[in-house]
Amino acid sequence: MLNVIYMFFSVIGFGIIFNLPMKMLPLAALSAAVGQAGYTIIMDRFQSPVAATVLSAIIIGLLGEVMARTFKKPATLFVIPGILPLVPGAYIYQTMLYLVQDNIKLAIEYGLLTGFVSLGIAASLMAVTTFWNLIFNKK
Amino acid sequence: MENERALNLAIMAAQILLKNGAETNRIETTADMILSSLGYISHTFVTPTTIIISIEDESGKLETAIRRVHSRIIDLSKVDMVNSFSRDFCMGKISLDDGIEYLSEIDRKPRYRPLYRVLGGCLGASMSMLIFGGTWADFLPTFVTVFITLSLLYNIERYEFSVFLTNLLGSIIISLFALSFTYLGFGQNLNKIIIGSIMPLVPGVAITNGARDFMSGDLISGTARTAEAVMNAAAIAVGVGVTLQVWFYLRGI
Repeated sequence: MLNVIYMFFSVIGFGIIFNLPMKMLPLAALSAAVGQAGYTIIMDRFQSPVAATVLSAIIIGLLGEVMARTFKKPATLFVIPGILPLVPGAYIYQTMLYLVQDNIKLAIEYGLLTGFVSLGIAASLMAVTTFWNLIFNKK
Repeated sequence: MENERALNLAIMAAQILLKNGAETNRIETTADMILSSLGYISHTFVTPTTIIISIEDESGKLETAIRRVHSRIIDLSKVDMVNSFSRDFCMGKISLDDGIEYLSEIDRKPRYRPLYRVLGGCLGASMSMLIFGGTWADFLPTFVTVFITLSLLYNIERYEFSVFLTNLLGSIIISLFALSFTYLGFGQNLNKIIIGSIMPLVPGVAITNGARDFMSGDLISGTARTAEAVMNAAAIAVGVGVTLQVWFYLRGI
């Protein structure tokens, strides 16, 4: 569960790179930390990175929408720094490492995992936004 | 004249959004909302490098404008400012002339100082390294590696190299430092140090925005952004891969 704390500070760091206004840094970090808690739980239970990423992205997306509504800011502000540590940088690296080592089988495995994880993040964010707008922003 | 000013305002807002990393759907919606609040029928087409807006007034007169966007960064506070601007504008709180001035003011707003951004990147990278299972012994090597890499990359930012080249250079430097640190005995896990350090370079936002564009039906933007993300990821992967290869060859492992 230490990961949750690491995640909090990690997102504060990335938030600064993305020039997130000072007031919103802790908020974005908080939602990412909660998302990371969900990630850790699913990873412990099912050992599935894709499922864990999807759940975590859904949590971050939902919290982002809630915060967006509360503070009257676009949800992207809270979501983008939060999902960055979920992005499969590690898998990209491993794919390349196995390619370099001529281990094509593992390279393909990690390459596919990279693709699925990124699609998972995007699909969950999209689903959250769509349903949120359907329920709360009727026009 | 009135039409041109309205068009100018909308395209300025769209340009600021695109330059600072907003997703396509948001840009098109913002421009359309600004124009429809002024009573125009508008057609907006946004790709990651171009904005085309065409408006039609009550008499059926058409005006079109195109803007080219060459480089994109991620600056969420500008996205936020344009967002609240467009809300205020649509509610009629800001006039057309003030709006144009206000937007160019937003465009000139500075980001955090480079030192803060470098330190932010270091913090983000080292913490991600810990999440990926590194140990505290790897903390300092990661921090120093990212500090050196980002300081260098922000220093050459003004020459406007392509993102491919910057990422390639960055990942080569990262892997060189990570290799030297582990070779000299600082830090335990080479892999974790490299994975953590490349986090500030990984095109996470491009991947996500690309997939989001696809899902909201902006196929051209989606393809372009995904291609950009894949290219940048490839640059990082090649940089790391080649450096590791050469190092292992020279060290004879």
